[in-house]
Amino acid sequence: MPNLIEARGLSKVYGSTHALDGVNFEISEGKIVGLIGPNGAGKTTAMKAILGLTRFDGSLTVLGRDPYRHRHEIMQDVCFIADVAVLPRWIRVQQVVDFVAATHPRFRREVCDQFLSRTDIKRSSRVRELSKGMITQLHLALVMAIDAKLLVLDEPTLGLDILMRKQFYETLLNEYFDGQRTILVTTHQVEEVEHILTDLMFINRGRIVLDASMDDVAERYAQLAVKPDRVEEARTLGPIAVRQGLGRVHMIYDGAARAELEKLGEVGAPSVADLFVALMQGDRS
Amino acid sequence: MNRFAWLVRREFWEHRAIWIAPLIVLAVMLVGAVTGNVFLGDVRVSADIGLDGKPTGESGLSEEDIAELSSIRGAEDLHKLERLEKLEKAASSGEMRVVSAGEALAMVSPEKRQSLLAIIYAAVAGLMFFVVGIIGFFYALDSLYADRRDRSVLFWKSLPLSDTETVLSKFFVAVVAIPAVAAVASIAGQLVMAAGGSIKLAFIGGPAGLMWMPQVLGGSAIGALALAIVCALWFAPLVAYLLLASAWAPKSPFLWAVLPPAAAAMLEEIAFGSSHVIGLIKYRTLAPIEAMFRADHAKEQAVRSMDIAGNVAELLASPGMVIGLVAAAALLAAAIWVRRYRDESI
Repeated sequence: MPNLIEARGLSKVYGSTHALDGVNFEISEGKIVGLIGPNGAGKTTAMKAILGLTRFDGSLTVLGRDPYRHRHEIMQDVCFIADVAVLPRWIRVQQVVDFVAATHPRFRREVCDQFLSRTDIKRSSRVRELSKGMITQLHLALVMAIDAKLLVLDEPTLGLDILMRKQFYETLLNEYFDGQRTILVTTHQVEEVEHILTDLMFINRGRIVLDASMDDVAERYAQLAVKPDRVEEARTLGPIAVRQGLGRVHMIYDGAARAELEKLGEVGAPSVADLFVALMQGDRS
Repeated sequence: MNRFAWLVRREFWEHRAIWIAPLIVLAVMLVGAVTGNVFLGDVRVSADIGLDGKPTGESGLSEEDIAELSSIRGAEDLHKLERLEKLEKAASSGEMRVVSAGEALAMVSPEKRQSLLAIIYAAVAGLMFFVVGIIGFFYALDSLYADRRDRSVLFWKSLPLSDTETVLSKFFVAVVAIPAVAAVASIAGQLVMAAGGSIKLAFIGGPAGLMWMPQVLGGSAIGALALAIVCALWFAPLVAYLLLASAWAPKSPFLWAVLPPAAAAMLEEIAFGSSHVIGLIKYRTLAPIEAMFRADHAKEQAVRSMDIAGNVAELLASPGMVIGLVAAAALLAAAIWVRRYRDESI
C-alpha cells in the first residue's frame, strides 16, 4: 500500500529544544495509528508539521506533497480535529454546516444531517449554547461527512466524560473507518483507543521510541504475572519493566521466548499504557 | 454561490454589528425626526433683524444661520448645550426672539430651503458613515485576531481554503461591503428623515412636500454613493494596515496598530522637532473628511452633497491616492503572509 505520510529526518527546533530530532516514519493507507507520548514529547509538533501548520527541517510528505507549501491543497483530503474548543463559538449549527458544505468539495451533507439527527443538537443553536459533548458531536458530524483520506485527531475527546469518549471512538470506528481511510490520533487516554488502533507509535523527547503494528507489539512484548516463588528467576530473563501488582509482580519483556515465560506465570499482552510506561522509563534511564 | 461569497457571508454572520448598528441609527433617526427637534429645533433669530443679519425680507438664511441651524440640530451634545444656553440668554434679554421651526421655514427662501435640506441629508450620511466607519475600523482590527484568540483559526484552517482567500474576503468586507452598507444606510436614513420630517411638518404646518425635493434627495443619494467610493479607495491602505496588525498581534491588535505610529511620531518630534509622521497619519485618516468640509465652505448656493462628490473627486485624482493603493497592496500581501506562516499553536 502506498505511504500516505512519509517523514525522513524530520526535525523541528524551538530555541534550544529539539521538539523533533531527525524522526523517520511512514504511515500507509488504511491504518489507525496512535501517536503516544508524554507532554512535550513532540507529538503536537509532528501533527502540526503534518497539517502544514509549522515549518520543519528534513523531508515530510503528506499525500505526496510538502504539507507546509501545499497546505490548502492537501486539506482537500485531510481533516483534523485539534480539540473540542476550536469550533467558533458565535456560529450557528446550520451556518457551520452550510459553510462547510459550500466550501469543502468532498462534504456529503446527507451524512452530516443523518448523524446530527441522532443527536440533541438544534440547528438554530449557536455553538456557545451547546455542551462540550455536543460540540464534539457536531465537529465529528462535520468531519465524518467529509470524504477524506487522512483524519488527524489531536486529543479529540479532551474534557469529555467517559460515555462521550467511548461513543466518540465507537462512532469513528463503526461509521467512518472503512479500511481505506487513515486515522492518526494522539491522546493521553490510551486505554480508550488501544482496541481500535492498528499501529502504535511512541514518541519521547523528539524521537520515535516505538513504531510497530499492534500485531507486532503483541508478538514482541509480553507481560508476565509472575508466580510468587519464581520472581528471582523471572528477573534473570531481563524484563524491561517490573511492576508490583496486587499480590503479584508483573514484568514486561521485550522479545523473550514465550515457552520460558509460561513456566514462570501467566503470560499476556501488556496494555498499551503499561508498555508506554515501561518504554518511557527505559528511555529516561 | 461561490466560495468567496460564502466567505463574505460568514463575516456578516460573525460581525453582526455591521448591519445591526445602521439599523439602530435608522430607528433613532425615525423616532427623532417625528418626535424631537433632532433635525430642526426652534430657531433663534435676532428680534429686529432678519435671519442673515440683514433687514428682514425674502433674503432667507445666511451661511452663519445655516451653520447655526445645523448646530442647534445636534443639541444633544454637551458643548452644543452650552451654545444653546448662550442663545437662550440672548433670547431672554430681548436681543433675540425664538421662532418655531414652521415660522423659520416660512421665512426662508426656496433656494435656502434647498441648501438647508441638503445639509440635513448630508449630516444624515455623515452620521451614518461615522458610525459604520468606526465599526469598520474595529472589524478590520478584529477580523484576523478573533479566531486566533478563541482558537477557531484551527477549524478554519482545517478547511480547504487558502489564507489568501480568507484575508482577501476580510479586506473585501472592510473596503467594499462596509462602505456599501454605509451608503445604502445613508440613503435609507435620508428617506427616513424625509418621511419623519414630513410628518412633523404636517403637524407644525410647514410647506408640504418640502422634504421630497427630488434634486435634493437625488443629489444626497449620489453624495452618499460618492462618499462610499472615496472611503473604499482612500481607506484601503488603512484597512490593509489594520489587517496586518490583526494578523500579527500576539495580543491586543489595537495597541499593535496604534502604538508603532504613535511612537514613531513621538520619536520624530523629539529627535527632529518635526511632525511629518503626524501629518501623514492625519492625511491618511482625515483627508476625505477635510475634503467634505472644504466642499461645504467653498460654494454657496449649489446642493451641498453634489459638491462633496465633486470635491472628493479631486482627492481621488491626487497622487496620494495612487501611493495609498500601492501601499495597500503591499500591506495586504504582508497580512496574507503573516496569516499563512504564523505558527499557530494547537
